Amino acid sequence: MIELRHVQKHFGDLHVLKDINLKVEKGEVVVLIGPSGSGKSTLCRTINRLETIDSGEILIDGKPLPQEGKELAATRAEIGMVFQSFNLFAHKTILDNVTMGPVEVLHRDRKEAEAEAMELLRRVGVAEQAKKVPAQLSGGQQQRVAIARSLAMHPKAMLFDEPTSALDPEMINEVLDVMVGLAREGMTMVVVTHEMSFARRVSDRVEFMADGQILEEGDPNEFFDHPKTERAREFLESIKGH
Amino acid sequence: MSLQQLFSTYGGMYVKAYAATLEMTVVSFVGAMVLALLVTIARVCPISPLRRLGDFYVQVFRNVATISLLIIFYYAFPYLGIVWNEMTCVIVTTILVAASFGSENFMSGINTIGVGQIEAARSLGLSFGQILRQVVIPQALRSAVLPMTNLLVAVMLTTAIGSQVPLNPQELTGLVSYINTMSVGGILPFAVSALLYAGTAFLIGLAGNAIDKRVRILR
Ligand SMILES: Nc1ncnc2c1ncn2[C@@H]1O[C@H](COP(=O)(O)OP(=O)(O)OP(=O)(O)O)[C@@H](O)[C@H]1O
Ligand SMILES: [Mg+2]
Repeated sequence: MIELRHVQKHFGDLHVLKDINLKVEKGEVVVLIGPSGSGKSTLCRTINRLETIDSGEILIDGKPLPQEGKELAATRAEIGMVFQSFNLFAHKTILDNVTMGPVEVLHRDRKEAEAEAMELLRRVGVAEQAKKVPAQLSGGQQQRVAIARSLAMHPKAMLFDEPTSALDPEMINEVLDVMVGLAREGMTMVVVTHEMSFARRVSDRVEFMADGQILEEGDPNEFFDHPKTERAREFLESIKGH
Repeated sequence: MSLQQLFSTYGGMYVKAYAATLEMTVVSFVGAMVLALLVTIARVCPISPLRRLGDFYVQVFRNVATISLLIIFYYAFPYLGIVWNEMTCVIVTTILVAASFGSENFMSGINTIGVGQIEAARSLGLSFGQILRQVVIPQALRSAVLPMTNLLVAVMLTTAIGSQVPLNPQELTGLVSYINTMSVGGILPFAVSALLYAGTAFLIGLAGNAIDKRVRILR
């Protein structure tokens, strides 16, 4: 479903992605983990071309990711993205945040889109907040709305870039629970996270990144219990401290 | 001259002058808002020559003396075969200058939005035009209410450049000059005009605050 082949990227002199090869099958949940600055966000963002790449290939369902224009927009509409900082539209109500994509991009009927949005908001547990604006919600609630906003597009895959890192500890689980639910229903997911419990419970594979490279990949339990590289051992040691 | 004398002689002209000031203010402000929006869209669009053109526009008209622009339009343009009437010259001058400040207000409104919301909109598959219409412009408009209120007052005061060309009817400042050439009016004619400017600015301020309260975006 998602495939990266020999992807290279620089930010100026900084080589952020070094020959990245990654394949995510339909229904797979892949967790990207690694130290700060290792290129996880950049990798995640290249998949819907929020970051361009220098060379290599990115394939979605076997087709190269379009470079720009309508085709790129259409591909983006099929891939959900959830950000660390929620990024809800500040001037719109929660309901309008969720219906904007379906109405504007998929040209769905507004009434139908609203009915479905309410259904999604109920599913992530924030239906009572539908008429409020984002600033009136807690971080955990906002992130669940952001997930509902993505789901409203019926995406074939979803990207999560540290969806719980900006949250107070007591709100992390309410967001992870929604993500676990999605994973169990068979959503294809690429998740940048340091939440080991999530990775162990639902991920099919962990990719460990350091200095722009994927150093190690494999079964989550195997990775957390018996990391193969020294770099991964050091990293796991450092996050256990928190 | 007493207040009574002033009003009995010039009362009717004051009413006309105030109306002229208001008319030029409203027309200039609306024009400036439309032009400011277009310039701002150019300044944020993906086409870099257009972006530079937008920036250039703002640099030029923010830094030009308004009165010299008026003199160019009124006294120099006829030599190029372009003849505008007095009011058109005043309005065009005011629009061009006010649009540069208006665009700066919109830009700071845009800068409060943050790239995150733009990226979220892009990843939903919205086009550049849709992102402008759905995300950028509504927020830029709403957070620009207070600075635009100040700009509206500035536009009103700028229309006083109309006193430098033979407007008919005259606007408030031109009328004061006229009264003082016709009769020895002293400070009084100035005070009346000043009061009308200040009173209008006060009302504009109240309206601006009320609108801002209603549309302000919680962050
Ligand atoms: N737009 C940019 N311009 C220049 N350098 C950038 C840009 N974005 C990221 N970088 C740099 O690229 C490197 C990789 O960044 P990236 O955000 O992908 O790391 P990360 O693994 O997600 O880290 P974190 O865990 O802190 O989120 C970092 O050194 C970062 O400073
Ligand atoms: Mg990151």
